[in-house]
Amino acid sequence: MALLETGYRPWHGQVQNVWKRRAVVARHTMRTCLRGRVVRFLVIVPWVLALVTVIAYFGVGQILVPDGLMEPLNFYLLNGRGRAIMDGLVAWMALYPDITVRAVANFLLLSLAGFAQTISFLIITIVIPRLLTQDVASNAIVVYSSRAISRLDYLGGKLAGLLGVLTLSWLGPVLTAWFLGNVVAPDWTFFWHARSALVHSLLFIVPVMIAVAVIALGISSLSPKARIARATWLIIWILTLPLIGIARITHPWLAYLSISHVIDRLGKAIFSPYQDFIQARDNLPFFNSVFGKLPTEKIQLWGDAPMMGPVIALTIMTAVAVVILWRRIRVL
Amino acid sequence: MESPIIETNSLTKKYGNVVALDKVNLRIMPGRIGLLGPNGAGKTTLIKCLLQLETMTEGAAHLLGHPIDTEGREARTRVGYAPEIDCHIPGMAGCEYVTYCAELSGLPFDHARQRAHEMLDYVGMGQERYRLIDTYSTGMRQRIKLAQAIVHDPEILFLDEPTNGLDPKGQEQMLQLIHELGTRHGMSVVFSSHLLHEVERVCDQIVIIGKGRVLVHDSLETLRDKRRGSAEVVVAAHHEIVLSAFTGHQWPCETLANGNIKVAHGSETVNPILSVLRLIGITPLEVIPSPNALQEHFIESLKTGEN
Repeated sequence: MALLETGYRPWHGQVQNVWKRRAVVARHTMRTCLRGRVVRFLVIVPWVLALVTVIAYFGVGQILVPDGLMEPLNFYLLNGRGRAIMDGLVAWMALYPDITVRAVANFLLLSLAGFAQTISFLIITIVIPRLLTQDVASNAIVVYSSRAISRLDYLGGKLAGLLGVLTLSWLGPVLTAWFLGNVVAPDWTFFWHARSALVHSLLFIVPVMIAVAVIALGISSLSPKARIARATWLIIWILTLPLIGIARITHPWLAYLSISHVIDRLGKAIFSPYQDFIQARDNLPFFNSVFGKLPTEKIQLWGDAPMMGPVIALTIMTAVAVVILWRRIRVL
Repeated sequence: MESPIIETNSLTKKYGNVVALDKVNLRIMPGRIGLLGPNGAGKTTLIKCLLQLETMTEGAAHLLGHPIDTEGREARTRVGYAPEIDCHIPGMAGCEYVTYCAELSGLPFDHARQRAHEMLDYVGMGQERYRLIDTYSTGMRQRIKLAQAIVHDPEILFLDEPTNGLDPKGQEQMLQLIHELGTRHGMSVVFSSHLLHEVERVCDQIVIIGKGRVLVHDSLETLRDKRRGSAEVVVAAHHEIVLSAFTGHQWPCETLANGNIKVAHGSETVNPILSVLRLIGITPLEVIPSPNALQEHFIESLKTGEN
């Protein structure tokens, strides 16, 4: 008599292709990252901010239409002079709806992208040991590598999983804010006028998100200890910030060692709020009288950033992370 | 005609100056293969090279007909592996882990989940499958390793020291499962161990590895046949008389620590021994033909390897 109740049956099904297996790794990574209340709460925060952005966008839209919802609000909240300024502003906005909508959408989405980036970085701080560190520590990589999964499949799945999380916390809220903001706008031309904000968001967030995800994976593979992975990420994210100040008085390129600075510069270079500001100043007497005397350097702080520096810095950081990944995840 | 499941050609693996595998040439047919060798002989390295967990330094290898350096992924679709080390994914319950492993092997989720539970039943895991693996005992971990290795119904199952850390009952159950997978379900099993009696019980082919080289590769039956000329005679008394009678026939013999007399009679059967005992009027309690054949081969081949 058998000691155990043995019921082995062969399996005759069709094995799924390698893309499905990569998707399994990605889904597992996402699920692992989203485990825990803190992370789930943090993921919700950018969506709340997106809602706030939609409301702000809606408010701007109401200013532009005659008898909009903002009209009585202005009447009650502002005094005579304030109301006159507002009327002038509204008149200008009505005169140049394309510039207005574009500038407002650009500004709102850049701000939202910035907030969402900070939240995403916080999320990465929490989940970074769950990416590769745990697999390295527990030899789980052997489980993957003894199956029909290559090193690229494994890392690709992990990258896709983290990108999924970042899409939830970063790209998703921004795109949703753009779409919903235009849905609640007074007319459909808003979609057209705000198109550049959408393009800027995609051009900024998608490559940066991929780079950040690769860098996070690289850091996660550095050590089997969770503390080291977290500490390294925090060093790269926060402790390099003082370099920006040091760079101003020593070598400007030092600032590009800070990932936060690099991303900030890249965002400003792509969204270019400075250009919107200049356009507003040149077209609107009100803006010209208030900001016309400001030195150009101060206005440039709004974001006349060169593109090449941040792009090169981010590319180098990503390349270093890829090399680390390739060397550390060798068992596959 | 059956084709080999594993074929290696001058497979070499070096770690710096240390040669872990030295020009290994193997052609293993389907069956239950025992990979024997002392600790550090290169058994695990051979398995790891075949599964591409380690890169070969030189040579070539085929797994299920696929060259592993170009079609390793295809080959591994039909391979299961239970490593010696713990390799679970932290934060997962047992059934979740086996389901995930099945999905990684290409099973659709529904099939994976059903199959995972079947395999957990098969290896004898009860409600503990819903607990985190981190809380499992060594025995449970060995079982779950076996379950994840067979969940996708592989053609070859690599088991690296699967009974390590198990109590006698657990060892017995594990060996029974492995034997059954090989005999009743037609799965080829590569069983790596340094415990000869376990390998002898489960396997029908033996590969003995020493210092990174294949010293012996033959069927267990052939190895036993090669040792047919020896026997162990168990007698209650008169050991000296028996020894002198065997010596008179020019048969090398000795008294073992347990009191049994080991004799190399050189014949196919034990009949000559029985005749001699009959002549001197001693009735043996037992005559064991070719005892410890595998152990003797093992020790002898290791000595040869060292020389």
